Amino acid sequence: MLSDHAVSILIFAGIDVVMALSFYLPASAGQLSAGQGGFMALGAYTSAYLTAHLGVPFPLALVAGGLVGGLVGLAVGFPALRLRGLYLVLVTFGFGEMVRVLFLNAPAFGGPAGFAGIPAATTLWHVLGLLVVLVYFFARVSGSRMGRAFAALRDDEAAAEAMGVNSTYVKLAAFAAGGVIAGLGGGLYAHYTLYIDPEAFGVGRSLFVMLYAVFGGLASFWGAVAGATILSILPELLRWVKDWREILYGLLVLAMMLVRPQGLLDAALLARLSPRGERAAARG
Amino acid sequence: MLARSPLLEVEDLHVSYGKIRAVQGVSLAVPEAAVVALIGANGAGKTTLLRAISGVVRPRRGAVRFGGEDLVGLPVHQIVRRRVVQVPEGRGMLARMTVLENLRLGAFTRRDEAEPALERAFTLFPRLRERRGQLAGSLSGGEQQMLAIARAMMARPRLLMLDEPSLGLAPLLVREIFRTIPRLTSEGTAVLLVEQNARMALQSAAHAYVLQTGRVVLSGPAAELLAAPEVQRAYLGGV
Repeated sequence: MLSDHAVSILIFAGIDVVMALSFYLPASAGQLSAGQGGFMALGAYTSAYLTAHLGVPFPLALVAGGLVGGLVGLAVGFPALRLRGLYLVLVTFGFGEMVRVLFLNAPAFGGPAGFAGIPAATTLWHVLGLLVVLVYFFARVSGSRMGRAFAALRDDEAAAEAMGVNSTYVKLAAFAAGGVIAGLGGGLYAHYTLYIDPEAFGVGRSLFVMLYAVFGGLASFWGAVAGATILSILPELLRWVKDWREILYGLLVLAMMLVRPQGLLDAALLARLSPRGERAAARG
Repeated sequence: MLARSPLLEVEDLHVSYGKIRAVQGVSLAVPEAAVVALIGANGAGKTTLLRAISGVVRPRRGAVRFGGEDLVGLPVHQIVRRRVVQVPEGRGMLARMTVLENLRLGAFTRRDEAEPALERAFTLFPRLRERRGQLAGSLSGGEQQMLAIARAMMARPRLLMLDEPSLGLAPLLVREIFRTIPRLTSEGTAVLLVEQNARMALQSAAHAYVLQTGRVVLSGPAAELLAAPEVQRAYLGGV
């Protein structure tokens, strides 16, 4: 069987994949979020409060965390209706910081000292189970009418509307669903680390989540899966370089983005890997 | 055809961009399954009029009645759902999606099987069948215009609005595009055609309106306008 250390690496990698998918979903409709850490915090704190203080069963608390993430995602989606590109990145970044400062100043959630005493509940099977559900969901959506509407919105908003796509609805749905996924990721995280503090969900977290998805390639959700898996396990593989680890990690990411700015899995590579190449080749 | 109430009725429409009055009191009608042309020089307000009908801009005053219902104030996607579809100037290609995906998106508002509609689209423009796996951005200008029209037809529109389909195309291609217009109306689609290429437009249409600085200055059967001296002089390059 796997050692505890290996299990812990896999659980954190799995949660990173969940988070990368939470970024990918709105991104696939052209909505770039630099605040996924904020949604993760909401899911983590909500579920932790429910299990630790109110004795709510873990699965229920996890779902509640996802729902809070989704509701707040819906609220954040509204300014997104008027903003795009870098401006949206700034607003979502501001949202993430707001959540962090909010929990920093909330004594009920431990404030800067953090929230301890969370019951241990997350297992590798929970993480893998959620990933299977998410992969099934993304695979179904990507070839569907809704998936095409997402891709059209990312390509050209006016053209998508001219074909009857309700851009308001699609954008809000994308942000809300991204919020649900990040909230679930937060709940799994909290019930594995058993201690959370606001700094764990700051801008660094949001940027790493973005990096995972972009590194893997935004042509398909498989990019987010591959990017997050590789980049979360990479530090473990680089242990032998000791103090140089983070520098080497940075250099490897940099080299990869120079060689393949479109990400690891681009449309052409996906077409070669896919039995139905025609469709995969279209996302780009 | 004149006895029936028209499919589309625009009444005293005014559209402004800030202080600029782009459309000033235009009224026009498009009967079922008819081709109506809207000609006029650059800046006459043709595109603005189309954008007001399809809901992209909101008119300051006036009515746009479609099958008796006022469309003013409805969002774009709701208007598309009523099967009023615009092919925008510049074609609105989803460049990073394939021809097939573009076509499927055209049927976004329809819940029924897309395959028969796809078959019709490929019969309309056989070249699209050969190119179906290709990214729309890699098509030539003429093929993109074909795709834009075929994609709009996927929604089985009752009214199709074409904005400058001849723009930037070689004369041979322009003729090929215009040849398909009678095929569209034979399927029951009415066409509102905006063109600077007045001759092509008047030859394809049953009825036409001439727009000048936001007002209709002339209207009538297309054949009459084609022969009218003022049209000849201003739009057809006659003496």
